[in-house]
Amino acid sequence: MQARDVGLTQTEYAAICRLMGREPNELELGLFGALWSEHCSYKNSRALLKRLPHEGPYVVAGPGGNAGVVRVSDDWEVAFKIESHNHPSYVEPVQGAATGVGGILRDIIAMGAQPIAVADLLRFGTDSQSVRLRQGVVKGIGQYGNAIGIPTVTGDVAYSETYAQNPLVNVLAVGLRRPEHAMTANTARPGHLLVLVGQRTGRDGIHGASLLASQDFQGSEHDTLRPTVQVGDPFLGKLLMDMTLTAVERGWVAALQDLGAAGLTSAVAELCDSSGVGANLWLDRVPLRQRQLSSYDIMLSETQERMLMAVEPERWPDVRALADHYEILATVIGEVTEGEMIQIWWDSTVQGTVSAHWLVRGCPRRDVSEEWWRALRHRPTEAPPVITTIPSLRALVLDVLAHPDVRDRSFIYQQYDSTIQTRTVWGPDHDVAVLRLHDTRVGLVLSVFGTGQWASLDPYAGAAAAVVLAASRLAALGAEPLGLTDGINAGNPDKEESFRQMASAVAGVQDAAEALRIPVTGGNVSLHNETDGQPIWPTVMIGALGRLDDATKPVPDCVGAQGHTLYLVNPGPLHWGGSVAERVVEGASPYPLGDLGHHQRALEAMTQFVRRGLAQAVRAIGRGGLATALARMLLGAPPSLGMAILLSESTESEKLLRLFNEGPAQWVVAVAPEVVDDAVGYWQAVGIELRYLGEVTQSGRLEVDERVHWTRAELLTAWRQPG
Amino acid sequence: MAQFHATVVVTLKPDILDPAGDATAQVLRQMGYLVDDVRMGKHIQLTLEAESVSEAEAAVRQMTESLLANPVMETYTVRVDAS
Repeated sequence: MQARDVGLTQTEYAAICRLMGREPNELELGLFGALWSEHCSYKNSRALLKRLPHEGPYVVAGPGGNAGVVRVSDDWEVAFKIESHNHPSYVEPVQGAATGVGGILRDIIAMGAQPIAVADLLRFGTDSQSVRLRQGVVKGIGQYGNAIGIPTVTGDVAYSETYAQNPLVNVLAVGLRRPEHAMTANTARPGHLLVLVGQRTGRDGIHGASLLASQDFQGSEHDTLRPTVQVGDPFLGKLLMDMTLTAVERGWVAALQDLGAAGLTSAVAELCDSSGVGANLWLDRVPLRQRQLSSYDIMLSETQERMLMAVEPERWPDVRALADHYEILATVIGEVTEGEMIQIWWDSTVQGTVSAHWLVRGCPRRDVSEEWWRALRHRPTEAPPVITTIPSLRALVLDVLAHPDVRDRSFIYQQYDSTIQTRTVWGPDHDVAVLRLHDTRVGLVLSVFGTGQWASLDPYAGAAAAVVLAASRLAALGAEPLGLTDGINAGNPDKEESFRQMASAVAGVQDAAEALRIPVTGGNVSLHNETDGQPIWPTVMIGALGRLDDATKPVPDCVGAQGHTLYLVNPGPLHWGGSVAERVVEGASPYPLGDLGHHQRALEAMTQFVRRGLAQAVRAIGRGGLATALARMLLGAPPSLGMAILLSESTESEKLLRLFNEGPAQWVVAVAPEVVDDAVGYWQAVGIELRYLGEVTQSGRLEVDERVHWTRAELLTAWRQPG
Repeated sequence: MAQFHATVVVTLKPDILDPAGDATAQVLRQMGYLVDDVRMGKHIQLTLEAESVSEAEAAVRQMTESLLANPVMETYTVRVDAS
């Protein structure tokens, strides 16, 4: 076996030999191949991600652990994180997506938190094969989430040819824990037993991390990678989850780590490295599904539904009895030792010896200069596009509503259980999910959004705008932002252009998160989303978590009564770069990001505005622009209501740019007559523009400038396209 | 054209995890049976028109590859009999 068989370069092989002072044997080489893969080592992205802001008033645990944790109240903490399962989902959509859900849930469980919600952020191509892929992915997410009993509460989906052979399947999970049940992987001590809990190990997904997720696909090469497909078992996953969390609550677990990419190798190495210890591993004791699995297979298998616990010897009988109660396997497969060396045994022979430190931190990582990093902010100019042929406003509103990136997604989320656990106040029929915590009025808001077109020409602007939009949706409910998780998806980092695109996206997240003062508590990077040399658009998936002081009555996102006045808060520039309408009409121009400091002031002002009870309805403007926001505020309202909109722009072209620009930090608000003066005064005082849009009427239709109108049925038919 | 009966048996590839089979095996063991392993699969019967046995078999294989089985995770056998 050679370095390239495990996905390593000659330079990396030389580095391994230097660290070890000798050549590695095959087993040791395999361990390095897995942990030094892009997927596990972040070798191309660590230097970028470390620049993201991680500190904040609510942060309990930042990046580096299995998931970020933020404080919601004195009684509750929330663990949340996004993960990608892009490549496995392309190879086998149902199981790829299902195991993606299972994988991120175990990350949350590893923090001692009970998962309470899942969100899915998906990108697909536009051909017929992509439709089949989407059907499989959606089925897989539902199959796992529904069966294990975790609701899928919100999501984001968009389409472009760029994703045809590299679909994106990013899954975000949220979990709750009591502060006293906090759990990490860095608390293992010499003398602890290493206990492997859950599924028997089989020949699943060997080299999934190093080959599937860390290299580009060439033509039909993925056919030969297929035999490594992992299968999820949500019923066993449920037993594993319940058993693990019970053991944590009882104080029987000293340290906890899930088994994900690179299986046992990664779990043991991360646990040992973060705890500053070594381990003896007895592979002959690992329960197997098949006979004749080699040490190599056992160390690298990505069999699902397994957790690794460090347990004090006197607690082992309790843990074993608890596992018996749940009818799952728990086996002592090793012990924690002094030092940092992991010794792998089979009976009484040593199969390999490596340092946890080498595996986790030894990989040569790419660095970037401060100057290069700063230069990523030089961006395409935001010159307003000239609309060459003015399209019909009437048709364009319907075309945008019917666009796959905008239209109703109920054909997807109807396949998910979104209400199990009975916490869901707002589910996937809203732009954000609102979840209640059972013993208090305090609740959570989960807002997810990913770039597509926005980042296609200007990854920096698109990524920053995704952060601002996710936060704008929190502000629309008056929620307090607690933290962000980011999923970066991009092409082959060995190509300068792809690397630069990815870095620009991270820079956008950094600048937006800093401007908005919301810490990034963790995330995921998926690179090599590239087939036959064609990379995807750099795509950033953002999950923003907020706290709502009273989750029982969120401010509505649809208009509620005739006579309310509609305003546009913080109108964006007359520019539709990156918008759906622009794509429908005439191609693409760069996204108009604007000034992040100004957006921060607008967000803060909106949050306070809502908390003062001055808004009867609020909706943040996102994909599809103002026109879509207005239509959706009407479609969710009682059928008798209508809207009469009067645009202040003078030319037809300006009116179109107003209605369809997707610039960040804009909202539509509905204000009741008795508080109109207060509302107008408020926005004057904070110095953010509040522009009159019109009135809520009894007409049952949307009217613009007393000249163009759409009936409710027309809007609904366009928006509710099947599939 | 003649009529043929075909039987397709679809099973998971040997190394692929079979949660349903495992659960069934566990229950059988709890019932006292000395069962080592259970693998679940599908048994599909088709009736079709074709010129010959070999043509019928080729058609059934094509159907299996494209719809009846998931070649990523499953293998299959095909048997065709004249009616």
